Amino acid sequence: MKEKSEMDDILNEFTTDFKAQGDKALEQYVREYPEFTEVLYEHAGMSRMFRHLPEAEMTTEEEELRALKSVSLVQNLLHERRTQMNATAENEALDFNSLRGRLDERNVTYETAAADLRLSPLILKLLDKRKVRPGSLPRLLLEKLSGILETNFETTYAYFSLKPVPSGGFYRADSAPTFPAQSEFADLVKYDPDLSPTDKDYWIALPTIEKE
Amino acid sequence: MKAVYSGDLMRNSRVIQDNEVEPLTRTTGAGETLRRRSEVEEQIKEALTLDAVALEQRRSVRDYRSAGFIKPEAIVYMIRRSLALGDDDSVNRLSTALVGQLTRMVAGKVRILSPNLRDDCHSEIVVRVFADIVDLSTDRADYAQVSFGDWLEKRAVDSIRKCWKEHTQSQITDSLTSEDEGSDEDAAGPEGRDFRSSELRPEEYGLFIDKALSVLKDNEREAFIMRHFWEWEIENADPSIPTISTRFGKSARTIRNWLASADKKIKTWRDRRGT
Repeated sequence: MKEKSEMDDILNEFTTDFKAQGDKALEQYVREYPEFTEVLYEHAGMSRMFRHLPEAEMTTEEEELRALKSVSLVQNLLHERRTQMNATAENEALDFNSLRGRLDERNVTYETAAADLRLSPLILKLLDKRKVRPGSLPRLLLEKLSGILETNFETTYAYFSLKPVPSGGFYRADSAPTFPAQSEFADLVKYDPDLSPTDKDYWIALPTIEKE
Repeated sequence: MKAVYSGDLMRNSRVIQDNEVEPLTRTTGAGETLRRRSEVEEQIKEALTLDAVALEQRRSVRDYRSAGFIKPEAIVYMIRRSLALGDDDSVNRLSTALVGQLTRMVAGKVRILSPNLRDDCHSEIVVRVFADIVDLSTDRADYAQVSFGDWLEKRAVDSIRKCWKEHTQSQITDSLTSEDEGSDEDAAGPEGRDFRSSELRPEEYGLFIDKALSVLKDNEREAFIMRHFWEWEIENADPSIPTISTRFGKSARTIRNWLASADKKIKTWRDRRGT
């Protein structure tokens, strides 16, 4: 039994070949794929009819109504896809222990990654501890970082959207751990002593995710 | 030049450059990698350089004969690219443009079905088409970027087959009566060949499908199409040849009775119209 996708490919090719060669193509495909004989005959039969059937005559209103219904179906599909992707990204973000860990797995140091990204290692460390407000990050940074980490945009963004790594709260500490306030990415860039003015301008000029 | 990481293309873990048009990856049965036609490739490159307003104007052109018409093959690529870049706004606009282009095409194809099944089948086709386009985990939609018309046709056939199998089959089971298996004295000859689709003039074809076939019951309509438009045999001693009888799982006599009934109804319809 052929895989479903393989059957799909065969019928895609058959549709094109049947249009060009007619019954000769039907005979050839039936010979090659006897297990699909009935499907091939049905495709051939309908293909012959489509050739003679003109596009439907519809009033503008009928066409628009039908198109609206189709657009709504497509929106549902896209919504389902987004929901599924967000769920996947959240799951992956939970496995994404730390930025440092992901870099180590790829034999990339903070310093190398920072140089590639035109950022300082200090900012990368703050990002790792999620001490930067995610909405203040430029999309390009997340995309570039995703490339380095060999993951997708959604996963990287989901990781930075988790709660900041708590400060304090060490074993038998006097106080409970606290979640530090998050900084704005642009502020970190502006006051970073290790970044060149060109790199500062580069990052500050980019729109943040929330301002896109 | 802006370079972005494509999350959905993470299987390749690569970066898409602003004006880069990624090649197709799906291979044919002969082992050749699919390739877009050069005019599609050029249209994609041109579309990537257009600003939002210009692109919007081009997307709204639905007549394929107009100079500004963007081919559906190019739109499919751009939808997938926009999805990979997380550009939801473009995805929505491009999808709407593609729906606009294919509405009449799909409506034309579902005319094969009886009117009560057309709307559901139209929806089914739209869902099949877009489900493949937006699934970035596979390159199955690569065919759509080579020849969208053929690719759409294949999906239309799949959906029509499904509608027929689900609807007609259940109807036959529900309404099976002794008259189906009864006398075949009314049958129009041993093969029911009173009508030939090839005798229809081109301008009659659509009208015949829409109007004449709508006087038939769904099982009669389907059998009539198979016999007279597809030229299938009612029965054949060779089991490897698809026949109407095996398709419905009914005796040849039953099929002849359906066809005789259909022929009678069609004849009445034509007599009334004087054609």
